[in-house]
Amino acid sequence: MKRVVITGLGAITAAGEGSSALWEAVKSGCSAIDAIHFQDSGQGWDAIGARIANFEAEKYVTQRKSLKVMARDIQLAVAGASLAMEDSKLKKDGYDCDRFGVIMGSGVLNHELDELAYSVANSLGDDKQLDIKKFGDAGLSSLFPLWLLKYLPNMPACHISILFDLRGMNNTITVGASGGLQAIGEALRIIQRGDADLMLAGGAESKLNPVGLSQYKILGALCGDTAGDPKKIYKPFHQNSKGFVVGEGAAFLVLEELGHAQKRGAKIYAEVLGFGASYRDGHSIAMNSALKDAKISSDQIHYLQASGIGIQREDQREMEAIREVFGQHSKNLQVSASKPIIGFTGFSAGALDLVISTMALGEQRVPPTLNYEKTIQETGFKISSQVMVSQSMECAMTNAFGFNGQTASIITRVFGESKK
Amino acid sequence: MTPKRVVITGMGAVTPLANSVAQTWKALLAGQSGIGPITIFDASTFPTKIAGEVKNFDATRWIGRNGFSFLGRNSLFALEAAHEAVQDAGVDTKKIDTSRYGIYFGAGDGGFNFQEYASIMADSMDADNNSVSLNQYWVESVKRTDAKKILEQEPAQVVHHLAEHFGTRGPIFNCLTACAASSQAIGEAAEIIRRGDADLMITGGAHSMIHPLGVAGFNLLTALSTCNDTPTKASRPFDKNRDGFVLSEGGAVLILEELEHAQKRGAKIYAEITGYGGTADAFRMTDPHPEGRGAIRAMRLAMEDAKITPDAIDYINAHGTSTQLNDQIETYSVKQVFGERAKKIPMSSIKSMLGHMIAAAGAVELIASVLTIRDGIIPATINYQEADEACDLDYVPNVARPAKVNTVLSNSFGFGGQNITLIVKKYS
Repeated sequence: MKRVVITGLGAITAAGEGSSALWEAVKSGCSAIDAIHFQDSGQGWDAIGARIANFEAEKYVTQRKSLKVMARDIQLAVAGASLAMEDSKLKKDGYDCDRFGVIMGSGVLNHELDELAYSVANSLGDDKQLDIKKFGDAGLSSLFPLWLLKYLPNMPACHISILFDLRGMNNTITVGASGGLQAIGEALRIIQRGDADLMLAGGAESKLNPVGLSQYKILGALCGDTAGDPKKIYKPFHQNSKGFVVGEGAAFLVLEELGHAQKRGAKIYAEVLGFGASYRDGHSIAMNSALKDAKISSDQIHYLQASGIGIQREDQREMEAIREVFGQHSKNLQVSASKPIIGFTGFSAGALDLVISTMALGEQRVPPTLNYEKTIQETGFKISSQVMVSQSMECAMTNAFGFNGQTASIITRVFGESKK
Repeated sequence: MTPKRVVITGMGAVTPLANSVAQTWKALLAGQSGIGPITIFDASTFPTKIAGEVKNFDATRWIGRNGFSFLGRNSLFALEAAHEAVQDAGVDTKKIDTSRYGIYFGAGDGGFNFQEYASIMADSMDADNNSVSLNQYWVESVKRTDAKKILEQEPAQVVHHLAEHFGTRGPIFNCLTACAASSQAIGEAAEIIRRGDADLMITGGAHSMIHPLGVAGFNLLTALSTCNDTPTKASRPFDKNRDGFVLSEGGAVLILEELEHAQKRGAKIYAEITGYGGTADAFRMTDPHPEGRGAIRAMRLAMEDAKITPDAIDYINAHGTSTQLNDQIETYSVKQVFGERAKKIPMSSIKSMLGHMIAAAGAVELIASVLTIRDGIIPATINYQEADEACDLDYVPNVARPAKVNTVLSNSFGFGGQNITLIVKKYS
């Protein structure tokens, strides 16, 4: 079985463009969450979130025609993938495009309301309700012809494959907040079994719009606070946590077969050792299968980048599972959650956390968990409240748990020849 | 480590022809069409007014179970088809390790309440009727939208229902790569078993895009047939006068199992999955590569994976959508892969009868491939009347044909350039 290493990191979040910008914000505890105004209403805020200000999609998508058929999620995906490619120093003629694929977490993309407005306005009956007969006629013809393509879940991976001519396996994993990390797990498998030399793997999501936010709110997952310091509201593992705060962003990692990476003299960030996934209450199953897959025991892990989604019930499940898996080694374990910096970013959340944990391994520092003071329950492990330098941080575990029950864990290790 | 062998031990289907595998298969062999006028919504003013709808479906056995008070059509079809497949395979969760029982599904997005969505938009419109007041939309949407319906939009919801109902605790995935989704799911589910990460996987797909935005979206792309007056003749893959695909819906599920696990519990074995190949065209959003670049390589990779040469293929279950471009390029690609022998290999498209079940298409086509091996009879491409110069293979026109079939190659190509080929073989 082939060994797989990380040779490129790409992230775009409210904390900035590039993995370094993300890592600096995470390390210094500088939250990008702020008040959101859908329109200039001049009063209060409509919501809080971590929005990417002044995103210039044109920087990554040079063809205006292409830009027109990309929902914001797709634009962010292309940006994240481009940043990872740039970081990997791969040149277009430096890889076999047949053996380079794309796999990412994505799902139903929110429509831009104004794009539908004209069509809907043309389809209303006298009762101001949609008249389906009018829609089939005047409504349909006032839609942009390529409208459907702008919102299909597999289009982000399609655009990335076209942009970099990646003709290998192409897949889109649509399982919610664990989707990004599960996509990376799948990429690991594809390279391990020899079906590709290189995979761009990650996720993208932008739900910081009235459609997406209202859906999260209705589902009861959104923190409902409407006053206070926006940066202090999102509190994973805290006994007063009240739900998540939404961010937007994309993260991609270049996963590469070890021999391929060494031959081209690539910078190796870390080795991907193991992956596990499960379902509802399967947090410990996912973590244990990742350990088994990595062929290491839990005492070899001293740092865990937690999902820490900020929903009490979910955080509690994660904490219990950590305690169960790490047992007596829990006391040596440092746990960190970074979502208060960049918000909950759905399909890209797990991938962003893996970028963070990879940077943390590289610097041998555990980032702080912002706004964490009082725990929901006795943990038995340490939740970092400030930057911690670890004595021995050889392996890291990264968790991604969807609030709907899906669970995934990945284990990475500092790369070294001696550690086969 | 030698990879484990993967066999199929259960199958289930809900299709426009019937709500079980046996009845669907019977109708396919009889050359029946499942296409008719759209009744799910009033499509009388749409350019396309026909589709392949699932009929006489009893949703009551699922609604209200496990706390699901609302289920999208994709979830309903998935649950029903999975129920049949699990029963067929005789899986008993009390007798297996459920942490080694997983799901890799290719479910499409669920029901989208367009009526409600449009009504909220209408009430949030600015005076000029050209733009939506976002503040107003936010307020109205939070007030009026139903959480359960929102959840059901997400393709992931299907695997949640399946995992919950069938008690799987192994790896859970859902992939959505348009028309290739369920084939890709089957291929990846097989890989999970091959590696030894699971003993049993529920796989397949479920989808319904027969809703106003789905039909409108495909109509705008001019991808759909508009043979509204002759619905049963609308889907005509490889025929010269084909004018687009016919949207349909349904669910198809296969139970994949590690060979020894299946033998130990004395399971019935339908066939073995031996090959999986996946590529991307990396060309355009909707058009396939004009020289079938990705399709050709997907077929070759699958045969390489199965450790067979093109000579071993007895039957090709085509993607065959009935669009001008797909059928022409698929034909061209098959000729590139099989050379002279291409004309001697029967290749049919059951989309001629079922229409295009989008994300669920590949799975129902694999079921048909498995039954072709079991029963020694190849389903036809119906509505094949006039030959097209660019499509000159043996499409098994109009009448099912008895034949000894050991190995089948099944193609699925997605919008967005994902190409998947699966190879299924008689178990021995």
